[in-house]
Amino acid sequence: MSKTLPDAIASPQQVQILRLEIGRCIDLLNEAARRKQSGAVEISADLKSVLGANEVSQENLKKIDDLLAKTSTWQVVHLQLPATPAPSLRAKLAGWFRDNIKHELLISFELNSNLAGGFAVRIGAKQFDHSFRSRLLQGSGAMEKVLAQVLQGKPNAGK
Amino acid sequence: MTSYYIVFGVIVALAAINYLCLFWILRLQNLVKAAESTAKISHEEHPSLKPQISPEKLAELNNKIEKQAEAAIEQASTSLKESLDKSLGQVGQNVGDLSDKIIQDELTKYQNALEEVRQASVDKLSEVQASIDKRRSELEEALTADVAAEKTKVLERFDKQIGEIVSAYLIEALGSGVDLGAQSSYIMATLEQNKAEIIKALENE
Repeated sequence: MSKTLPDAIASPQQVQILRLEIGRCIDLLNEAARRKQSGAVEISADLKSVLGANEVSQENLKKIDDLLAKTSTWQVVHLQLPATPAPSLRAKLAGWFRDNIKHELLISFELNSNLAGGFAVRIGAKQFDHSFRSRLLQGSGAMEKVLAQVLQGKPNAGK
Repeated sequence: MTSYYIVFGVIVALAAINYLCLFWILRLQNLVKAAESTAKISHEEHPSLKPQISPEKLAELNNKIEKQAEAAIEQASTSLKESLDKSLGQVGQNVGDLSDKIIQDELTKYQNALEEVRQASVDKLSEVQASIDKRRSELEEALTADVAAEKTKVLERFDKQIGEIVSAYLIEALGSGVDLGAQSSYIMATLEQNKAEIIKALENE
């Protein structure tokens, strides 16, 4: 099944922005048609990538808008990261989710600096915390063993 | 008590002896008087009888008897006095000895009683000391156990909290400057490991 959205377009926010842009472009094209002017408008790279993924030209922006409207029924995975991901990482993560979990999926990237590292995934009410913070807190019991070994002077303490 | 009886017996004996002496003297006098009266009566009743003893002789006899009686009385009195003095001395001595003995016995009893009281006090004090020592030992053991338990509790709390403290420090230290690019491999690998969980969560949503 071909993707409706390229991996670079992952989050619901991006979809909304695209739909707004499409709406603006459609308005501009209609205005140009009314004035009998050329119908080319400048579009963003994201919109270009969507048009390219669906092999649609600018004249069929409404079709893209309809496709984008359908994404409102898609499930959303909330991915929390300790820092803002680069566009390449966002695309990589979105691509993994759509290739391995479900094609029709939106990924919402959220910033949570308390994680210290790693990530957390929230799907509905369920959360999977794979952050460094949770691993450190869960491993505090191991700290006791390490301390005990250090105090006893055992070699390879903590290994 | 035996000494009293002995002394009393001696006094009674001496008194009896003196009484007998006096009685003997008085009897002699009575005999003499009786003899005189008999002689007189006999002479009056039988004038023909000549008195055997002449009045002068009789008077002499009376004098002799009186003198002997006086001497006997004096001797008896002297010996009574001597025996009384001796008896009194003996009694005094015996009373003194008896008093000393009684006092000594009472003192001995008093000392024995004091010794018993002292020993009872010492024993009681020893018991009290032993119970105090025992209680002190029990309290020391309890205190040692409490201190050890508290120490263990504190160490456990420290061990538990040190992990959280170190974790909080690391989180705070790592909070800024996170490089997601360096973590991307870890993120992808972890996602791959937990793929099934994520799929199941999406299906159940």
